[in-house]
Amino acid sequence: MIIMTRKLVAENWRLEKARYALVGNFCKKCLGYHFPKKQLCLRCKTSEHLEEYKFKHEGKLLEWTKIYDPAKGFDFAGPYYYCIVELEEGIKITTQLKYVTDEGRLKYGMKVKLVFRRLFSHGNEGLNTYGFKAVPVY
Amino acid sequence: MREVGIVGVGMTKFGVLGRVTSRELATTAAREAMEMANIKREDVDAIYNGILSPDIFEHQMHSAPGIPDYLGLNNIPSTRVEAACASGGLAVMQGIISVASGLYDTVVATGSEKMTNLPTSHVTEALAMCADDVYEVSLGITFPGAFAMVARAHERKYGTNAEMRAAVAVKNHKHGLHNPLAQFQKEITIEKAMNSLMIADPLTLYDCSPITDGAAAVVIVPWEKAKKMDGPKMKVSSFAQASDTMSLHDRPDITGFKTTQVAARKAFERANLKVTDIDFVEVHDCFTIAELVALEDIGFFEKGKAGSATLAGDTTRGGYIPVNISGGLKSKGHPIGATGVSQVVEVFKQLNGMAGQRQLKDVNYGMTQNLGGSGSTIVCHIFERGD
Ligand SMILES: [Zn+2]
Repeated sequence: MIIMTRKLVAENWRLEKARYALVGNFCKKCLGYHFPKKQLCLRCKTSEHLEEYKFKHEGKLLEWTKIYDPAKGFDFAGPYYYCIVELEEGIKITTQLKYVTDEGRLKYGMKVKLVFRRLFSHGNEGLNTYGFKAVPVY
Repeated sequence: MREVGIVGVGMTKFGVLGRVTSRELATTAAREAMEMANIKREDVDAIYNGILSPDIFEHQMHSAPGIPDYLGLNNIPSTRVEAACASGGLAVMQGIISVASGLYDTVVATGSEKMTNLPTSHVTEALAMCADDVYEVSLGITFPGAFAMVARAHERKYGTNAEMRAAVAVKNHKHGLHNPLAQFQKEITIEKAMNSLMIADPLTLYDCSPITDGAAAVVIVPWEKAKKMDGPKMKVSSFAQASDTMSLHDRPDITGFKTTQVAARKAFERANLKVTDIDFVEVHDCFTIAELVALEDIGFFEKGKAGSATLAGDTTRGGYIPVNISGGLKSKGHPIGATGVSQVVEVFKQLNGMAGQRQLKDVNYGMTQNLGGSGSTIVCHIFERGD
């Protein structure tokens, strides 16, 4: 039975800028950042002052967990760390936390950088989907 | 709006139910509820069915007409209601609204789910689809993972630890002993819960509700009509629903759910009641931490105090506020769409003296809190005795 019915090519092209380049938007009026890209500034309620913005690949670790029981499709990764990161600009994302060599040194608020990695593949012949994962900076 | 009451309830056994469809389960629960209400089949004006995903679990979309079909009630409106794990609570709420509006006089609200056809990793994937697909699911989130982060945030800020979370599991398993329809009738110990398999650090297997099949149903009528009926009944005091960001990370604070705070406050306002008026509550303990957070968000305890209160026995029979006397999702089981309806069933049984060995004494007001996703949808109900 096929459970995951993602339209791979279409989905990835649609998300190209957000997923592959971390592009959201910036409001020149209220100086607020948005990710993912919004159609209007949620504070100013208008699209008038919005421009595209590419987020920096640095932030801090806000929360994390280690997932031992992944969903189908992520079982290849075995247990993995999953986290909430606040980027330098103040927006938050969730992603996997890679290269955790010493769990005891993970600290709330510690610096992380984002790296471009494979997120998942679809079956044996499926496309790979790429995106950003976080790496602790000790 | 008219005042509304509930005059009959039904619930199947919750558990691993083998060769049966969610449609059959919903039909069974609906028949039981209609029998208790002593209404004629032709009186039923409409059906609402809370169900997460017959598509994924049973390869069946467009499931709603299947229920009146099996009940011999063809041609009445039947509507599927989906709001992740809050589907059942929302189906009840839609039924209440439709009767309150004057459109219908008799509505059957059901909730059902048949989950155990699939292996666990597929179920985990299906449930994860209730999170934000693009910005959470595709990065590997699971619901235990999301609630694990809530647990960590809560522990850092308030010191709510593994023992306090385990105390929720122990208490709900103890309650479930006296619920013959619960999936588990088995006591556990704090040590066993704390030392069970790690699912998403710090949540262990015993912090998580199980995968379950089951259904529940209620019959909703105008209160004017309910008053004239002889059987058991309860009055709907109020209801409220709230929503929040799809993604957990988009919230400023994950030590609580704003949705529960908003929905509970609205429910209290609409009923003109205070939290201290509530005699018992069924909350959505999909994970142990979710029960603690819900009790704080509703206002039974101050932020950060529900864990120590649970350890002290304040949330069990005879305590300050009995919580999940049915066994909760933890012990009763969590057939997604059925869960919110089964909470209402428990309140009905308690308010009508029908709860058998787990019957609470002198209860006038019961409350439910049903949560969807990572708290992106919350539905709260308050009910009062009908006599
Ligand atoms: Zn703005």
